[in-house]
This record gives sequence, structure tokens and C-alpha cells, in this order.
Amino acid sequence: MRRWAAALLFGAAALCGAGARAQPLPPLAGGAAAAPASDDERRIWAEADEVAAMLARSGRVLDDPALTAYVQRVADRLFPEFKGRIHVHILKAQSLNAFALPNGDIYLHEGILARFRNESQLAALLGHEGTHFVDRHSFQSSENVKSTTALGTALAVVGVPVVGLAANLLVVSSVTGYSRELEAQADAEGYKRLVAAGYDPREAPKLFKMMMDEVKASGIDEPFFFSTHPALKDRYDNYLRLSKDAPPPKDPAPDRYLETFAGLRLASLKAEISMARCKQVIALLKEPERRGDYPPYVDYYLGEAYRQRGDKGDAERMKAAYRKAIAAAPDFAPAHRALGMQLLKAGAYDAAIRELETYLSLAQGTQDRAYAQMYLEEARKRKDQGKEGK
Amino acid sequence: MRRLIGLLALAALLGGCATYALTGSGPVSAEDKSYSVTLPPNWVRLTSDSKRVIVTRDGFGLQRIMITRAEAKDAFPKIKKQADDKLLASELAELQIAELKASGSQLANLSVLENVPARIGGRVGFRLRIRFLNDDGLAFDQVWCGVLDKGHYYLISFHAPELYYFDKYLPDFDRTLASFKLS
Repeated sequence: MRRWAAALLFGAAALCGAGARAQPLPPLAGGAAAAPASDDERRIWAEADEVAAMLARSGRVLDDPALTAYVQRVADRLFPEFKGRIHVHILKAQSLNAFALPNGDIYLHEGILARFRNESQLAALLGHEGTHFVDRHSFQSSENVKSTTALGTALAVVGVPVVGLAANLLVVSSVTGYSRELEAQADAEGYKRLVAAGYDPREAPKLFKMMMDEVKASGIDEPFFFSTHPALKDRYDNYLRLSKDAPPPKDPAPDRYLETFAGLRLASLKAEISMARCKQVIALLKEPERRGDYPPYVDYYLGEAYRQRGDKGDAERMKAAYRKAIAAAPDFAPAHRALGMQLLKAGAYDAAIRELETYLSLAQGTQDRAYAQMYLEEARKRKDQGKEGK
Repeated sequence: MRRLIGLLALAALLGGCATYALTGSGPVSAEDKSYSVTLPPNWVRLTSDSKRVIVTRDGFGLQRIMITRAEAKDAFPKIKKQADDKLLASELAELQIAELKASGSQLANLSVLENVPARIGGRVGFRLRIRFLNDDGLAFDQVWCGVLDKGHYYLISFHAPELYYFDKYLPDFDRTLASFKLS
């Protein structure tokens, strides 16, 4: 309801503002002490503070001090003069997205952090988002939106599951993205920061290529900026051009991104399965290089994704994936349960009994033991009744 | 004066949109006679919604019991999945969790507190208890019980703030659930 009301108010305000023109603004001055330069900008910062407070109290911000400190360190390295003004947060959301509020709060979705393969890729995204803040793109765009896509943007809010709010700054920064010019500016300025901080600039186009391929392969249909193919194609083209002749960094620091974010990556994969985002999981795990970023039993999740998708041939792919997971990690209980359930459905009761018994012996105290126990009893009953199938 | 007239017109309009009735003590049947259930007596039932049974005692935001029936092919519209008789109870529960997560940003990070098989209307289904926070950080608990029967998906659910209301009115929900009978 609040979203509707805010969207309608914004739409009305936007229409009233039709005809206004955006003026190019200088970047924020003052580094960590930067402050809004006008009453209008002060209002937008205050609105951003409200959004940040809501996100914090609604439990959507990940409470992991170690991971948050890691992403904050990278931001501080990129924007040293804004240390203490730029605050980076991790949102418990699986979409490929990140956004910067006009008050300097940057939000990275878990889903996008799960895709990075090194710190340079994280730095490329933070350089881009940090530039949106430093160059005051939200404020510039709030002016611009009034004069151009006002009503369309306002209506888009109503059906968009952003983060529960319809604040116009979120519409601008998170949903539709900025104008192509401002995004290109964020690429260019972010790239300079990336190089100056000693990161490998050649990783930036790789990141956007990887995301672009995944969006295409999985048919992601989301309104978020980094979930859309055209936006990613622009980022890829820009960073490829910018880094064309870039040499590798002379003295790169050890990169601990993959090991630091291993837990988040797996949690994100589980969350994607729990949301039935099977196409995304299949697109992600069919890349051999990225499969290596997960534990040996990762095929269990691939099997789950095939089961959820249910296309022709997926039943066999699913069982093969479960068996592969069991072969790689015999003590990984969920794969035994999943295979046992499918064998029960197929009428292979002896094999189902074996798998379900194994599951119950391995998985002590898990939430779904009651289901496994029920399926085991069902398999035994049917076997006794002589209903053995395949 | 003009504002008062506007408010009166709005009240009349809203009053015409929804109708309510107090629940009695005996069983009631679904409009299509597919099930019967005994609702908590003296609760308020929203009678203008003939497709669902929705009752509350103090207000829909404070506690509500809801019963819905959908064709199996329309069981999970948000995630665009169907229910069918081949699904095991835990698979049905898994789809319900995905559907809830897709239904709003507040529910996207729900926690599953309980997920167990349950007999509903004499058939094997599931019982879920979930928790989520609203934008103000208030915890809400919900119980969702689902079962498939003759090509239809039945959901009986209970919603309340975790603070005070959930525990107080859960027994009313459990009595309602126990009385649910498929025809």
C-alpha cells in the first residue's frame, strides 16, 4: 500500500515537474565530510537515510561483520578520501544487483557477490557504484526523471519488488539505472579508481561478460539494472575498451575473495534453489570454472535444479547429478535423501530404502527427518506388498 | 465541509466493497461443497470474498485464518509452477516456500521454523511454520498447511504477529485445521 501511495505521489510530482532540465553538477567536495549542497539535495539524502534505516531494521541487511568489513575495505581502498562517508552493506537478496544511495550507502546483493571470482571484480563494481555517489548521479537523475520518463517510472515501481520502498531515488538507482551517459561516466571514473588502487583492470570486462552470459542463458526476467542484458552489454563494451591495453598490476596483493566468500556463495546457491530459480542455478553450474568455486557435492544442487525445471530428459540428468554428488562426497546426506525420494517415485523400492536409510543415519536432528522417515516406511510397505517397479 | 462529504462518500464506497458476518459454532461448507470446516465461533468472516474463507477475531493484521482452494495447475502462480499428484508432500511444501518467497520483498527472507508432513482432511500434506520481519522489524509468524486432492490444491493458513497474538490464537487455528474435511 505504501508502495502504491508513494508511486502515485511520485508520479504526480513528476508530472508537475515536467519541463525541468537537469544541470550537470560538480562531484561532491570535502571527501569524508561531504555534505549536500542545497535543500533539495538535503531532502534526497534524508530520504536515503530513511531507506537505509528501513533496510537495517527489516532484517534484510546481512549481519556478517567479517564479510561487511571485507567489502568496506575494498571501497575504502578505491575511495580513500571518502572513508567514513561511503558505507557498504550486503543485502540478503539473490538478484544480480547493486545500488548506491545518494547519502553514500552502497548495497551489494548476495546474488552478485556470489558471482565474483576475485577482489578485482568486486572492486570494478564498487568503483562504478561509488562513482554514482561521488558524482551525485541520484540527485542529477531525480531532476532528470521529472522531465522525461516520469509517469512510466512511477508506474514501474508499483509492480517492482525492489526492497519494499518506492522512494524515487531507489527507482532511479536500483530499478531503471541511470541515463546511459551517467552509467558510462560511472564506468570511466570507476575504472580510474580501479587502476589507481592497484586492482587488475582486465577483470572488469570478464565480470560483466560472465553476468551477461548468465542472464542470457537463464532467461532472467528482472527489472534490476545488473540483471538486464542491455545494461551489462554496455558495461562489458565500456570496460573492454577501457582496459584494452591495460597491463596486469605490478605487485598484486594476495587475493582471498574466493575463500572469504565461500560460505556466502553456498548460502546463495541454497537460497536460489529455495526460490525455485532453477534456470539460474543450471546456467551458473554448467560453467566448469565456476563449479570449482563450490564444494565437491555441488552436483546435488544441480540435481535439485533439474528436478525443479522438469524439462524432457531432466529426470535422468537429476538422478545422474545426485549420484555424482554422492560419489564425490558419500557423507553428504541431502543427496541420499533426494535420490531416495526419486527412486521411491520410480518404484525402485530396494534402492530407495537404501538411500533413505543412509540419509537418516547421516542426518541427525535435521528438520526434514519426518519426511524421510515417512518415505522410508512407504517404500518398505510397498516393497512388502510386492509392488516393486523398475 | 467538502472534506467531510468526501470522507463520507469514501466510507460508503468502502462499506459497499466488503461485507462481514460473525461466525457461528457449527461446520460451514465451501461454496462448491468441496470441503467443510468449523471456524472459531464469534470471529468475523469476510463474506464478500466467496473464493476464500478469511476470518479474524481482532483484525486481519492481528490474526487471521484463511482457507483457499485452487486448481492444481494454478497452485503456484508467482513461480509459474503446477501441482500434480506425483509430487511428494515435501516437494509440495518446497514449492509453497518458493511461492511465498516470490510473493513479496518482506517474505523473500523468510525463515522456515517447521516443515513436517501432516494429515489434512484425511490426506497426507505438509505443515510449515515460517517467520519474517516487516519493514518496521516486527516479526510475523505464519502456519501454512497444504494438501492436494482430486486435482485441487487446498491451503489452510494462520497469520499473526509473533508477539502475543501467534501463540494465543494458534489453538483456534489447530481446532479449525482438525475440523477440515474434504468431500
